[in-house]
Amino acid sequence: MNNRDTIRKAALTCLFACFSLFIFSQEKAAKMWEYELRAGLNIGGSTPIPLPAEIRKINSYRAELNPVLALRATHWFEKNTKWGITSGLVVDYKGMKESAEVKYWYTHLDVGEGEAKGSFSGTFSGENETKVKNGYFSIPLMATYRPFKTWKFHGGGYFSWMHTSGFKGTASNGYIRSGGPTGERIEIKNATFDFSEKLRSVDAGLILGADWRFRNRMAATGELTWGLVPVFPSDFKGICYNMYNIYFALGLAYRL
Amino acid sequence: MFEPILHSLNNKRMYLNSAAIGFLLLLAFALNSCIKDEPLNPEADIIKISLPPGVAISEPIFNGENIFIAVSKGENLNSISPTIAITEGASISPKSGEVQDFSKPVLYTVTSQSGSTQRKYKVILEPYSFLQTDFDNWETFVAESGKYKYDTPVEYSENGNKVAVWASSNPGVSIYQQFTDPLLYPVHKSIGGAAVVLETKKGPGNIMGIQNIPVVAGSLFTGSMNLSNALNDPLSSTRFGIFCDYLPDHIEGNYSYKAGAGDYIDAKGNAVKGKTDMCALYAVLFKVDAGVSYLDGNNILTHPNIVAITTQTYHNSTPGNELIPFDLKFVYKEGVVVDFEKNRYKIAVIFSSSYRGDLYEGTPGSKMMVDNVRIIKK
Repeated sequence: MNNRDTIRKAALTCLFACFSLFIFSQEKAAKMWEYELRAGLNIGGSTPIPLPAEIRKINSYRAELNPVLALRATHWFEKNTKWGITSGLVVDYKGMKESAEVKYWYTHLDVGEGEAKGSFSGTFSGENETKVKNGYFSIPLMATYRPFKTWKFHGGGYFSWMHTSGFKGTASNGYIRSGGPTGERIEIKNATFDFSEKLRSVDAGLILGADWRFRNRMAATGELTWGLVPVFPSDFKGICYNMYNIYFALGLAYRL
Repeated sequence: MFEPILHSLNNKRMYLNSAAIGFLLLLAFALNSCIKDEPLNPEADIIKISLPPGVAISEPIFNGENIFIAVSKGENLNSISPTIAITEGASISPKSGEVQDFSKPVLYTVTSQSGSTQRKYKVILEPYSFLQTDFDNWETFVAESGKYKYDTPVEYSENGNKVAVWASSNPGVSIYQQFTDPLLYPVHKSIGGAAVVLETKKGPGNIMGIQNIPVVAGSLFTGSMNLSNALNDPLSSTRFGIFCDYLPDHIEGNYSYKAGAGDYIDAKGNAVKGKTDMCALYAVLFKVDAGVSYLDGNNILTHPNIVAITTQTYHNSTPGNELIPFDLKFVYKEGVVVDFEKNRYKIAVIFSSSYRGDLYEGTPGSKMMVDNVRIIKK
């Protein structure tokens, strides 16, 4: 997708600029500025909150391997060095694999290709498996609080641009009712869907995290990112409820 | 010097692992614990209908909102109490087991458990057996959503009641292609005239990874369409045959056929060079028994219960643009005795604009017209 290519290029330029800035400013701002390289793994889900009644049972959930890599700068305030402001650049993946039993799950799909393509709408009851793997470039803006030498807390918001999209799955061992619950019943053994191209290319939400410094330069980190923008645009009718990116990143930070 | 780091890293990994596991458990618990109460069933189907013993001479044919049951001529239909099975939790009015006057079609309304949806059914008991049609009467099916419409020819019994005789490929196509103009569906009435037009069209291709449909043919037959299997196993979705209480000698009528000019497309969507499409125009008489109440695309020409098949099944393009007469004799299997006292029989009359259309093969543009069909008894 062109849009996502542009996002990738813009983000790389931005990353390079940040890094140069960091190199140049490093010596001058020894104490006021703190830089970190962070790496970790995202665990969580792109999920509706709360779960809609159509989802009857979660059969399985797998976090998948979703790396997070971030370069972060914190500027500590002169008068109160316990407080600072943090920003940076994050490259990460958010994903999961989930299998659920659904009932009367409304969907509207484009089917087929070319001039004779059509659409299907109706309700599905059966097993649904979804695999999500979305990659984002993000810029966080947070307030940072350092009550003790070894602990640091931060909270704020983030804005993300998608660089890779993946939202695919299957509908199996069930049936669809064409048009709705009173429509024709059609057995489905195994159907596939791919909504990757339908995802919204931006995301924004809240961050809350804590770092525990266990060595001079090393810290263990935990951070919750809670998306407030549904992952699909409002005109998308493939899934009848809104889903949000809710992920927890566990990792390490290295102070540069 | 690295040892403490490694050591702490090890601790750290353990800490991370247990934290991760804890988090996952929490997440799984949180997600499962917030599963809501099951929604009330919004479906409202008649699943099964049966008449008191001896009344029906054929199993019910479900054709959309019409349920047609063939009964013997002269059967008193004034007070019959059918047993009706419906979707769990739903309710039906009038109730199952209640005596109804079936000398006219009886309307049943099923209301879903959720109360949000209703399905109306017309149950028709008629001593009807198919002998002829001029395709003068048509019915338009309009989807509840209003998104699509298609036409189906209908027949009327001696009592003036509409009976479900014909099934077409239209309802199958409407699962994945929605047209508000019925003329865009592969089976429709001719413009101005009252003949049936069957046209092979380009299909949508891949349907949700279940089925590749490169071509859809216009098919019309006596029987019903079981859409339940339409995507998984299309050959089994065509249920051929309606009740027949006579020995057919030949079937005649008028038709025209023009094979499409482009490439013949096989079921995989590949063009087959040099192959010309043909139409299907034939009829089959078969015996109904405990195991066989209809034939389908897999066995319509091969099933051992078949008693007679018309001389020709597939036909090439006709000359000129006008409809020309056809006259096909039923060829009875040698040694088969037809006994209407002991057995029940069904007749399948089949038209298709592509002879392998049930396998999603054919040449887009192939066009067939049929009119004035008559079955002449022996």
